[in-house]
Amino acid sequence: MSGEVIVETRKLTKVYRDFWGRQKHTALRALNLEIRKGEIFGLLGPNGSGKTTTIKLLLGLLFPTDGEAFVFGKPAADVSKNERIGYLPEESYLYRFLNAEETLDFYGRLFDLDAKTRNDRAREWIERVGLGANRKRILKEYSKGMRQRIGLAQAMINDPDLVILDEPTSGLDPLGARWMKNLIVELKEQGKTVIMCSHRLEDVQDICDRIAILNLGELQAYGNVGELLQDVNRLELRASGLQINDQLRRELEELLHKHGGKLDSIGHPTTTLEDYFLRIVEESKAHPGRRFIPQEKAR
Amino acid sequence: MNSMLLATLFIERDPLRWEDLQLGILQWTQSVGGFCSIALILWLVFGWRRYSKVDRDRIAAWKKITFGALAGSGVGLFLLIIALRSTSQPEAASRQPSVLDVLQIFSGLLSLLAVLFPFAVNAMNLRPGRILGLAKLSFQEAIRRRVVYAFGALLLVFLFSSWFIPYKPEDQVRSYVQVVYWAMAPLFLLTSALLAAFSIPADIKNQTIHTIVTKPVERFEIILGRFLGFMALMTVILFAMTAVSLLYVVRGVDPSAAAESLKARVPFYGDLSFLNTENENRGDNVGREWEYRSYIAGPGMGNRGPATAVWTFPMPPANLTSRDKVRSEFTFDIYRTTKGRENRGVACSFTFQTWRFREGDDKIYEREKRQALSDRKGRTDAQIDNELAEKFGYYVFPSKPIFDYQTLYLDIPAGLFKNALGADPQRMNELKNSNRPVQPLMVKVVCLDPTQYIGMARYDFYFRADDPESANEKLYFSMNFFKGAIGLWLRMCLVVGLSVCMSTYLTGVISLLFTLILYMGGLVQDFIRQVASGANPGGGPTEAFLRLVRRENMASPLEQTTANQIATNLDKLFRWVVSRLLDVIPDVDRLDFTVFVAEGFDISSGQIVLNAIILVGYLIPWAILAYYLLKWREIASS
Repeated sequence: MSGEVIVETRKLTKVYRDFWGRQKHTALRALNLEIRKGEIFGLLGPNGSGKTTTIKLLLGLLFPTDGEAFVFGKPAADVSKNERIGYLPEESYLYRFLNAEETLDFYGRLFDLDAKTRNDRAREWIERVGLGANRKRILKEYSKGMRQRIGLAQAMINDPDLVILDEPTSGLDPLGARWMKNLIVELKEQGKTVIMCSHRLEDVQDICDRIAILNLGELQAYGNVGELLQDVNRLELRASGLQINDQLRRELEELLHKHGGKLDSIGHPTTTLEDYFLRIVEESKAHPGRRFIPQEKAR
Repeated sequence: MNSMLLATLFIERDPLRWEDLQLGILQWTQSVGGFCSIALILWLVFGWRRYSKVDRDRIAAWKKITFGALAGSGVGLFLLIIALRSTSQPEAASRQPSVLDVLQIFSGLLSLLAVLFPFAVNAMNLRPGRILGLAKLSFQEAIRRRVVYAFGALLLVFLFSSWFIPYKPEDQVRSYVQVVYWAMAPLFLLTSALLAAFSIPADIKNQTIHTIVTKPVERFEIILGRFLGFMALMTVILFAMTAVSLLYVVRGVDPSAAAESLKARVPFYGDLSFLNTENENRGDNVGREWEYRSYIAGPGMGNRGPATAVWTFPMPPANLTSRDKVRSEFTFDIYRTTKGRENRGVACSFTFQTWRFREGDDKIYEREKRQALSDRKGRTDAQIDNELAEKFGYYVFPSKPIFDYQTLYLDIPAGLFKNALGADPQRMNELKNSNRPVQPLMVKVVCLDPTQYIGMARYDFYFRADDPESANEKLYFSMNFFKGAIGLWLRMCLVVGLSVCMSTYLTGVISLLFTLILYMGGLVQDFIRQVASGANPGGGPTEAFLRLVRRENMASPLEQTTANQIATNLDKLFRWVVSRLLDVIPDVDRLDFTVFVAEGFDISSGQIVLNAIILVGYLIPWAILAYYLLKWREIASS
């Protein structure tokens, strides 16, 4: 990750007005952000906090009421900046009468790519998002997850330097969500900058380098994920090769007490549901035909 | 007597001529420039202050200076002209533009250039590949949404129209052509309007446009792409449907109908003036409500000399001289003051003379003709007529019976045209020295029947520039049928262009309504023009309302009362608004070529090109407006 600033906002403000120009709702208030090259940046916040408004302002879909936004050093309203941007909207808003190949060919044309590049990239990304077998089906027949995948492929057709993903795991099953997260990390490894909005905090925590938390249009927190989440008042101890017993508990309590602390809890750690689910699915692939039979209740 | 035809082409508005183009461009610059000046003033008052200082600083200095100079001088001149016009006395109508007119054109041009400047700078970023991509998308969208199926409705016309359309055998082709075009026009226009009006609003509503405008796509590329895509599809369908319609029209056609109508006459028109009538431009008024034609009286009516209709033609095309004879066709109206004789027409004489004909030569012509007829030397009548016409530039058809509602013809010796096209420096000098205009070819028509009137309009008499005895008439008709479809194609361009432009800001339904209102306004443009110029009976709406309430006759002049004065002034304001409205209403009538095909008249390439130029001129301001509306629109706030 270099120090080059890719995205910068200065006092970026967006006020929605009614037909008569009266102020209706302040969606974003004086936002100052810097997003650097090669990082995965997460925008977090509850509904209506201004995440999507920020993204739309960066993409030129909305015009700022006040302040400025720059992408690659160009004003957000400058169309030429889009040459280096890939955008996946929250819902995959694509033309449902086109099939996967036609969709990618169409978006490739919008980047003025030559026919060979369009074909090569379309083929590559259709395979990469796992839609090789469905390349000729029109998008109307796709599931939500499949549309999200082809949506991602259209965002990547120009091999962008900056990828903006609005709820990228929305509509994806846990396998798909994991695949998406891996892909985002892969993009980072290729030197691309990723901005993502998500409600799934565990996704953000897993992959984002830095985050900004917005609420009611105002920036509430901003910085490195590890630093922001660190709780310096608590201590975590992990051990293996032991079973919990009274003696162990007692001795640990004494030791902690001696150092001025106290034991809050002790127990076996649980894995995440996502990891558990993925393990089960992997096992079922390894042992086809095996299934879970619930035990009958004792009569 | 020569056989008669029914084909009658009424041309109530003069067809466009290349000479009109220059004046048209000046008027266009004046009107569009005026709108641009108003738009610039509004933008300077409301728009410029919305730009932050940083945004203003970011604009390159040369762009600011160029735009500022153009807009400042254009708007400055515009305001100056308004001030001058409001203080000066109204000038008498003149063909020569006044100084203020010239200034207004110049001011309009500057404002237009100012408005076009950002557009032109932006146009450098347009990429054909992207436009084609968007056009292809529109094409695919329409196909996959099964729009083509709508045109199956035409099958109903092909299958069942003959059950309901009464026609005389000789009128068959004419009826079929009109039915086919009248069925095709609403179907194509409505489908095009629906497709175009709902495309961009649907993209905005479904947010599919977000994935387009976040690519390096200029907003004007979206407008162009949509327009071209829909037009490409509609062009393919129109071509196919025209071919099918042509087969329908010509299939099993009655031989008399084929002889009458499967033609594409190429008329060679002249200007009409009158001698010994009320005035030179009009003949006598016989009280007919439709004033398309004016009349010449038969001998003995009135104390002037014989009333004569005179057609003056420009130099005829050289290809006419390669034939033995040239056909002239005419359709006159008869106004009878007495019943006349049953089944006999009203006789007229036709005199043809070229610019080389000298007064008094007619007597020599008659003498030589008598001699030639008595001493033929193996020559036929036609050969004698041809020789004499070439020698004297003169030919007379002494009496030809005219019938109502019929197109009649005379075959004229081609020698007359050879004479007209021949070089004669001596005669040319004579005409110049005597300050008389060179009138290459003249036709004089005199009614010979006492107590009867013959009515005629400029386009009632013409020479056939094509060969009426050509074996390829069916082929020419077919080609003309496709040319007629070009008229529909131009109207589709108009409808699609308007709908796409409107839909950049309005919703689909409102865009469609707006387009239809403008289109229908174009259909009644003549009436709107009458209202704007105050030529309609009964005055403007306020005056008409007063007359209605007071139960006053609409022809009687208003008394000079305060209320009437207020009403008249309000109507003046109303007329000014309507005149401005006229500038935004398309000239739809000119784009309808159906009547030419149906009556068997060729649609000249010049007409098509001129109408296409006018259409482009009409659509350009809308396209510029659409460019700014979409550019300034917050796509995601909808």
